[in-house]
Amino acid sequence: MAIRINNVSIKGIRGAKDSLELPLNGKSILLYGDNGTGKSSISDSIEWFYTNRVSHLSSNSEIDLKDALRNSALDIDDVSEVNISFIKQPDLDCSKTLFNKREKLTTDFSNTSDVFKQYIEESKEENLLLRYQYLTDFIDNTKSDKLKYLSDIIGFSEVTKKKEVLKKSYNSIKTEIKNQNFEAQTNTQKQVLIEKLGAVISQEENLIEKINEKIKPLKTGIEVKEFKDIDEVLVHLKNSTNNKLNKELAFLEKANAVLNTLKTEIEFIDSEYLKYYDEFEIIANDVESIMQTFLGELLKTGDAVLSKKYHKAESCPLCLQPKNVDELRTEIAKRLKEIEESSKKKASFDKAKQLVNTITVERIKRLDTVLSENLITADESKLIKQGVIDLKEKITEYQKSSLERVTSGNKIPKAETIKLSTNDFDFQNGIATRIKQIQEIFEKDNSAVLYSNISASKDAFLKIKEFEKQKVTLEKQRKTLEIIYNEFVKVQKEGLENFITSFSGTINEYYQYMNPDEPFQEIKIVTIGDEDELNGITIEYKYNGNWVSPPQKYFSESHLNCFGLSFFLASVNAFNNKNEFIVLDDVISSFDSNHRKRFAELIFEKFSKYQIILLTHEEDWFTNFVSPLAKKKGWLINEIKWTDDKGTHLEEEPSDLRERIETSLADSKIENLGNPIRKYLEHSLKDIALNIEAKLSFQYNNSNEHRMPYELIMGIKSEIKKCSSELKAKFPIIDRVESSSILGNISSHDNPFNPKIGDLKAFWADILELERIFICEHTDCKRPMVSLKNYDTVAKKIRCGCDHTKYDWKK
Amino acid sequence: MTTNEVTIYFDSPMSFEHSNIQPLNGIAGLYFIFTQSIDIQYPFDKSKLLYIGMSERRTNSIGSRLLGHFDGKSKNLGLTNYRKVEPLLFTYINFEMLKNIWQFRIEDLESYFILDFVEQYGVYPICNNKSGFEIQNKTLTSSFKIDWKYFK
Repeated sequence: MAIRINNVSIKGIRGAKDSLELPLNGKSILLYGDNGTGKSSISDSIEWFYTNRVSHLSSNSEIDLKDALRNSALDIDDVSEVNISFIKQPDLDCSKTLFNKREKLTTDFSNTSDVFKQYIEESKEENLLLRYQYLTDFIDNTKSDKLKYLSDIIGFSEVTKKKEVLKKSYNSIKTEIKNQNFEAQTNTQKQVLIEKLGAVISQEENLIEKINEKIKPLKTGIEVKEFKDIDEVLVHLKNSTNNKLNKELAFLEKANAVLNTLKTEIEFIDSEYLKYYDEFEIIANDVESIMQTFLGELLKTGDAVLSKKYHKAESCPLCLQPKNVDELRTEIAKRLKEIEESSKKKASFDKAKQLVNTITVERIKRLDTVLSENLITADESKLIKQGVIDLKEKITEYQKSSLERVTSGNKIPKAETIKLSTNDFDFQNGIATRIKQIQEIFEKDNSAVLYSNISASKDAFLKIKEFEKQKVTLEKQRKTLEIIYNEFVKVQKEGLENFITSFSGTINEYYQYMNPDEPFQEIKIVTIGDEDELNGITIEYKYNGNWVSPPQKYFSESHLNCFGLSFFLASVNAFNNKNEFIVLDDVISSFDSNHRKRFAELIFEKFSKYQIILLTHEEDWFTNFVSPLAKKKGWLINEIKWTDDKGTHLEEEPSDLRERIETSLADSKIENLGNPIRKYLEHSLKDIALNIEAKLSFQYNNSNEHRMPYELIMGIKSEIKKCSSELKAKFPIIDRVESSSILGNISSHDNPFNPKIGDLKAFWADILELERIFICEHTDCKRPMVSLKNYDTVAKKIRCGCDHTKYDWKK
Repeated sequence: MTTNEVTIYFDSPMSFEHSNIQPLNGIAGLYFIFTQSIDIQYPFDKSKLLYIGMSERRTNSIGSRLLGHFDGKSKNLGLTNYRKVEPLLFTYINFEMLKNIWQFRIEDLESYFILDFVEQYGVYPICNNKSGFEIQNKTLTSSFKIDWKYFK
C-alpha cells in the first residue's frame, strides 16, 4: 500500500495560530520560508501526529513537549489540532488534538479504528522525516547502538531474542547431562558386574558369554542365546535357593549401589556447592549490585511497556509523574548499561545455584528409592535406614542453601560445615557385613550364589543400558540444538550481512551521486563481531585507495551530512513499505552550492515516485534552482509567512484570497482585512501590468515580487495613456482605487489602520470594477485577460481571447 | 574377588570425532584407538588396534588426550596418517570402575594392558612408538583377561 497525503491542516500548533492548510492532493510540495516564519511547524506537526514526539523538542528535558507544541497565543480552551487526510484511504483520515482537560494537556485521535492504530504503529517503524540537526545521528551513535538501530528496524532484534531462547534450551540440556552424571552411575553398575560376574561388561553378547561360562559347571542344560534366556536361568536357580535371603541380598545390593554412586560423587557435589558458595558470597557482599540487577528486570519490563505502548500517557508508567516517554527510555537504556556488569555476576550466580539445586533434587530422589523399599522397615535395616536418612538430611541442607534468597541477609553454610565425607557412608560397613554373611550362607549352595550374582548382574546391565539410552537421547538433543543454534547464528548473520551489503550499495550510490569525482569511494557499513555474537556496526570507505574508519576521520561536515542524507534516503528506500511520502526539513543548510544542486537532482531523479514535502529557508536555492525543477515536475510551490494576526501561514492563491475577503466582508469581520485586500490588489495589478506590457523600473527577483500597488497603478496608467484612448476613458475607475484613503494606509505591510466596514466594501467594489475593465466577463472565454498576447493586428485592438472585451491599442 | 581374574570387555566403539570426544572431559583412564577395517599384521596375530593411551588425572583427561590426537597436536604421525586412509574408532575404560580391584597407578594399568598386548600379539600396538616397558609393581593382586578379540 502506497500512502500519500491528500491534505494537512494544522491549527494552534507551534507557530500556526489559525488554520494552516497544505492541500497537496497527493502532490509533492516545495515550501520556502525565511528563518522564524515557522516552517518547522509543519514538520513538527507531522512528526507529532505519527510518533507522539518532536525530536528537537523531546531531546531537551527542560521542555514540556505538549506545552511547547501549543501555539502561545491560544486561550486555555482552544484546541490544537493536526488533521491529515490521505489519497484513496479515507479510513485513515484522522485529527490528532491537544487540549486542556482538567487543567492537564491531553491528546486524542479522532480515528480510533484498528486499521488506523495499526497504520500508526507501522508508520512509526518508517523513515518519514529528516531534519538538518539529525543528519549525523547514525554516524554519531556508538558501534553497538548502530547495530541496535538497524537491528530494530529490520527485525533482527526479534530474531536475536529467538536465538537466546535456543541458547537457553541448549544450556539446560547440557546442565541436565552434567547433573545426571551418567559416567559415575554407569561405573557403579560396572563395579557390580565386576563383583558379580568378574567382568567389565557393557555389551549384551559379553554378558551372555559370561553367564554361560558361569552356569556351565551346573550342567543345567540351558544355554543363554539371547537376553530373555537369562530369566530362564534365574527361574531354574531360584527353585533351589532361599528366596527370603535372595530378596534381602537384592535389597542390600541395590542400597549399596545407590550409596556407592553417591560416595563417588562426593567431590562432584562438594565442588559444585563450593562454586555456588563462592558466587553467593560475591553477591551477598555486594547486595547493592544484586538489587541493581532486580531493578534491571524492572527497568527492562518498564522499557518493554513503553516500547509496546502499553502505557500511552507522557508519564512514568510506575510513579505516573509527568515525563517524556522518549527521554525516559533514554535514561532507562543508560541505567541498564550501568548494571550490565551486575547482571553478568547474577547470571553466573544463578547458574551455580540452579546446578546445586538440580544435583541435590536428583540425589534425594535416588536415596528415596532406597527408602521406599519394603525391607527398609525391617528391624535388621534400622541402621541402614538411619544412615540413608542422615545422608538425605545432609543433602537437603545443600538443597536448602540452594533455595536461599541472596538478598535475605542470611548466610549459607560454609562448604566445610555441611560437606559430605566418606565417614557419612560408614554405615555401609553394616551392609557389607550382612552381604558377606548371606554370601557365606550361599557359598554352601552354589545355585544360590549364582542366582544372586546373575540376578544382580542382569539388573546392573539393564541399568547401564538405561543410562546409555538416556545419555544418547540427551546427547542427541544437545547435538541437535547445537546444530540448530549454529545454523541459526549463521543464517542470521548471513541474512544481516546480505541486507547490509545491499543497503550499503544504495547509500554509496546516493553519496556518490551527490559527491562525484571525490576521493571517498565504496562507502559501506560493516558488522563487527565473531561467529556467535555480533557486537556492532561501523562505517568504512576507501580514501585514496586505502580503507578508512570511522568516517569522521577525513569527512568534512558537509560530507558527514551528505552521508547522513544518503543513509536516510537509503532507509526510506529499504524500509518504508507503507507510506510513500517523506518530509525533508531544511536538510541542505550546511551544504555548499554544488552539493545543494546535486541533492536536488538526486531527489527529482531517484525519488520521483515519492510525495516529498521539501522545506527550505535557502532563498537562492529555492528561487534559482529548485523552483524551476519543481515546476517542471508538477510540484506545488509556496511560501511560508508569519504575521502577528495569523502566525505561521501559507501565501494564499488569489482565488482563495478573494473568497476569504468576500466572506469576511459579508460577515462584517473586517479586523486585519487590510493586508489580504492589498495582496489581492497587488496580484491583480501585476497581472494587468504584465498583459499590457506596462513599463516598470528594473528590480531584482524578490524585490520585483513585492511591487507596491501605487507604483503598479502609475505604470499601468502611463502605458494606457500612450496606447489607448478607450481605456483612458476608464481612468476615473482606476483613479478611484488610486485615490482611496484605504490604499494609502494599507500600502505599508504592517499598518495598524482599521477602516470602517463601509469604506472597505466600497474600496473592494472599486477593485472589482477595475478588474472587470481588463477581464472578460463572458463565461465561455477561455483566455479572459485582456492582453497584448491576443492583439488584433488588423483592427489594432488589445483584447481578450474570445474578442468580446477589446479596446483600441497603438503599438 | 580381587585376587580372581577379571575379564575386561570393551564398550561399543565410537567414531573418532570431536562430538564423541568432547563429553569425555574430566575422565581419567585408558583409551584405545583402532581402525574400522584395516587389519595390522602383528607377529602373532592380526588386530585393528593402533594405539593404547592413558590419562593419568582428570585435569589431563581422556577427552583432552583424544582431542590432542584428533587435531594432530600430539604429533602421532601414525594415527594422523591412518586417519587419512579411513575414519578411526575408539573406546575407553574409566579408571574409576577398576579402583576397587586395581590398587596401582593408572600408568601401571596402561603398562599392564600394553604388555598383555605384546604377549598376545608379539609387539606394541603399531602407533604406541614404545621400545621398552616395565611394570612398576610386580606383585600384582589382579589379573585381567583382556578381550583383545574386540579389535579383530
